[in-house]
Amino acid sequence: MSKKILLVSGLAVLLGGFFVYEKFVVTPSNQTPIINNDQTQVSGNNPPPQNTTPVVPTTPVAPVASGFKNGTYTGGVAQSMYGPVQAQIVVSSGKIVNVNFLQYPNDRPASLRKSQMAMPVIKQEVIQSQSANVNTVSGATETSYYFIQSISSALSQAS
Amino acid sequence: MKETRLLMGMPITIEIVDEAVNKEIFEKAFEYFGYIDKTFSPFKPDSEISKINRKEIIESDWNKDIKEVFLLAEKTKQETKGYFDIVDNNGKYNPSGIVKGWAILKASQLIKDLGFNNFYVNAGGDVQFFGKNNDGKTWSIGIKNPFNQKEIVKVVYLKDGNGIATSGNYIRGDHIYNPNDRKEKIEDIVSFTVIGPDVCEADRFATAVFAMGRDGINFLNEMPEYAGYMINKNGIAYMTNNFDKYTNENF
Repeated sequence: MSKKILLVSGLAVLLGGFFVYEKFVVTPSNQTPIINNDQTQVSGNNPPPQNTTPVVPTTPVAPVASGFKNGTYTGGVAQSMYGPVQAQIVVSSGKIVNVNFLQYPNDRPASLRKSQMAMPVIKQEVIQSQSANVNTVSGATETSYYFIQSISSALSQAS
Repeated sequence: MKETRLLMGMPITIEIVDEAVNKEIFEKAFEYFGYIDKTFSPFKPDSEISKINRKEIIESDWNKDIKEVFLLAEKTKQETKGYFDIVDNNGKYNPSGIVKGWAILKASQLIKDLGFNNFYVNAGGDVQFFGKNNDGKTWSIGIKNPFNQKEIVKVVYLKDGNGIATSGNYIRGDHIYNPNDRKEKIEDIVSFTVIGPDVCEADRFATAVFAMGRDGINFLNEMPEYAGYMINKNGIAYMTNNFDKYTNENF
């Protein structure tokens, strides 16, 4: 594994549960997507609330010894195969209270023209977590690596 | 033997369980993905795609892989009633929606041509399978929970040659609207998994059906050689009529 990856893995640890949470948020169309870094948000998000709104702590949090300087910092643009990725962090009381995604790609660009179709009966179910061991997994392309790159550059400004 | 590398902006994992497996084959396969990125990335100014978009290369001089992918894109556009289109609003080519599955299949064929029969290639969650797993059983694959990347919500079993692709946009800033009534928001789909005759087929239809929204599952239901599992923002999954058979290890 390259040095760069080791470096960003360290950063991921620093950011705690953020990357777990990153993927759950369904963003309302009329606002900038905002991801909250509060680790208590990580559990029990299956499925997410229908009207997810950004949560900003109203009570000040105690500064940590290795805290960052308060302010809003915008990371550099990291290029993924699917387009530019850019993050912004908000530091309050020495802690990251918000991570905003300024730019992120759709993993499959395609035109969105709609047509009318008949609706046959389709089987449905509520999704449930499975505990089975599997050889490999399938999911949408992750862009986390590029968010880490962009957040890393935002963090260097805050420290 | 199994190895993961970050290439083309995503983790690519190859696992080969044939006894004759060696390091060299992994090197060759990963090198191939490097070539694909160098050729097809619209975000690299010196890629062939970028040069084509700047009209620096005339059509007759296009690389044969570019021509093959463009032909496949055109075929997919016709088969999906225009939902799939690699030409963006500015008239530029962006083949990222189709090149991944195609490249996984090509890399798998390269591994197969060198005499390996039991392996999978997983690039960013799209997978091509050949043969059996380390226990001599059918390869199993978990569909990720779009609301929690550490969990899986379904297990499917894929036979020799089969492929699977999942399309999704878990952090969505855009929504799909019904053009006949802009006020009506079409049910938001967060994850769409397609099982197909190979990963290239699965991938190109995963792209298109995801764009179709809720109609995507009906579209796929009429294509018996494909199966689909679609999850909406409320955690409800819809599946094609033939999907259940893939959840049985011994079908």
